[in-house]
Amino acid sequence: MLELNHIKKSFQGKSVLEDVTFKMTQGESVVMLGANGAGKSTLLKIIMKMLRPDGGMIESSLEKSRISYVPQSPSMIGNLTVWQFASYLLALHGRKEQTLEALRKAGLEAKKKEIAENLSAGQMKRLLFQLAVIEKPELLIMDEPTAGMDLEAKRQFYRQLAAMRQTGMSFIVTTHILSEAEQLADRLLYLEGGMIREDRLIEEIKQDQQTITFRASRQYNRLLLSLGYQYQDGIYRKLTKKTVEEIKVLLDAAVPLEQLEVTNNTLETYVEELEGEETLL
Amino acid sequence: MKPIMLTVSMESKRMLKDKYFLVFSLLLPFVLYSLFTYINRGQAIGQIDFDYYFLISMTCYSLVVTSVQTFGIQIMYDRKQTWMAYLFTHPISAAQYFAARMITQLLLNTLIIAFFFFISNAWKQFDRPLGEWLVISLWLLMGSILFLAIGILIAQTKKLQTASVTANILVLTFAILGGLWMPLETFPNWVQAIGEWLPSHIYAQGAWRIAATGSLAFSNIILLVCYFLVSFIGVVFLQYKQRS
Repeated sequence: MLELNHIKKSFQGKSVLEDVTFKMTQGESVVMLGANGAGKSTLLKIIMKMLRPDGGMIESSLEKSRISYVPQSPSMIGNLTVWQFASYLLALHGRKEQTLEALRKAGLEAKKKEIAENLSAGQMKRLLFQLAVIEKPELLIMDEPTAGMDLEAKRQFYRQLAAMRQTGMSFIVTTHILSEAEQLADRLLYLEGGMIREDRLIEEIKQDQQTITFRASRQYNRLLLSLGYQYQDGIYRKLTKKTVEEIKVLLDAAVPLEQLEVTNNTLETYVEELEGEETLL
Repeated sequence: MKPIMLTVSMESKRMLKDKYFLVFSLLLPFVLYSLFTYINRGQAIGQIDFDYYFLISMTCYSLVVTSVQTFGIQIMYDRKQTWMAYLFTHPISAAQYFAARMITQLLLNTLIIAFFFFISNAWKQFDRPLGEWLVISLWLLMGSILFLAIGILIAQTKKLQTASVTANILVLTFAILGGLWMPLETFPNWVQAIGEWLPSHIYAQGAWRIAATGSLAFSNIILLVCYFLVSFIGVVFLQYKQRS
């Protein structure tokens, strides 16, 4: 559905995207993570053809009209009411008659006569999201979609997105909220230094590493620390890919384990680890 | 065609609510017209009654302000607010959008010409043939395309503040040195020598000449076309530079 090959982009001599290559198939949902300035928004704009890459190729089987975009920064124009703004954009898609529906879903029906520019950031995001999905696009690209939304609006957004995922719609989304990333997507793209450092399925990440936690007598402290466990508030903890082997070592050493728990990795711990390595580099 | 018509409709609603447009394009020129025609009552410039001469001057001034300042700064503002980038993710191309903006401005310019001509005619009771009104209106409308191009040229500036200052300086230069606020004959010779070559003067001179002689000077058309081509090439060059 979408294929990016060796995409490069720089601004005023400063390289933002060095060499980005990835493929996406229909129905996939991808979350793009990375530190500020990693090139996420630039990459989204290149996919949306809002920016031209300096090098590389984009191949897409989708027509432009089948791709929708929810921008990061509020993109409003002055002097138009919420109704005029929404109906203009929907009319461009031949869906002017759905203006009321979009405003209702965005919870902005009561504000239809207000100047669009005066909406709060969260209200704008809700409106831009509803405008983007009303045509049921095949690919929805969202740049920090929940920034500025209140809790209830976020819940509604997650519900609607989950329903759309069931229909086979594809997503590319950037976010800074890691707990949200798990709900939004199946696949993680981690950008670093203008390149994709990690491209993995989120489920795979979660199963790949596990955290072992337990309580043990302090007399085993030296041994456990030497085995790489961290101690905090009476609990020993270790992130590992070899859970069974690790527990066997503990049992062989006759460490009495209390409240032993093995939990799957979270995206949050995985990304923290990536960010930690990035800082060290 | 549909995206253009939708955008013209949307932009017209937007512009008619724009306080800057209402104050600087309609109210201020009308106040200046009332003031200067009172001060210079009973006088004539060349073969034209001052009231009529200054009606043309103020209509030109209003069109220059609207096209260079209001239009140029608005395009710049929309660009900076990422509105345009977002809009182009919808089914409308940049060419359609800019065509719609130009059409909207030309409609507004028609409205400005009609506003000044109707109000002043009702007030001052000019006894002029309808054909002359129409030819002057057409000249003013066509000539305003040059100032729209200058507005778009200014909108290519990187900073909003730079664009705003440039537009202000340019409009004041066009208005004062171009003889729109005061007849150029009242200035020293060296100022007149500069003013005669300004596009605003050539623009207004075309209309004054129609009012005085009923005909257009070919040199006025050529000079305005040259100014337009320079502005147009400037826009294309800056667009190309920005994209690359």
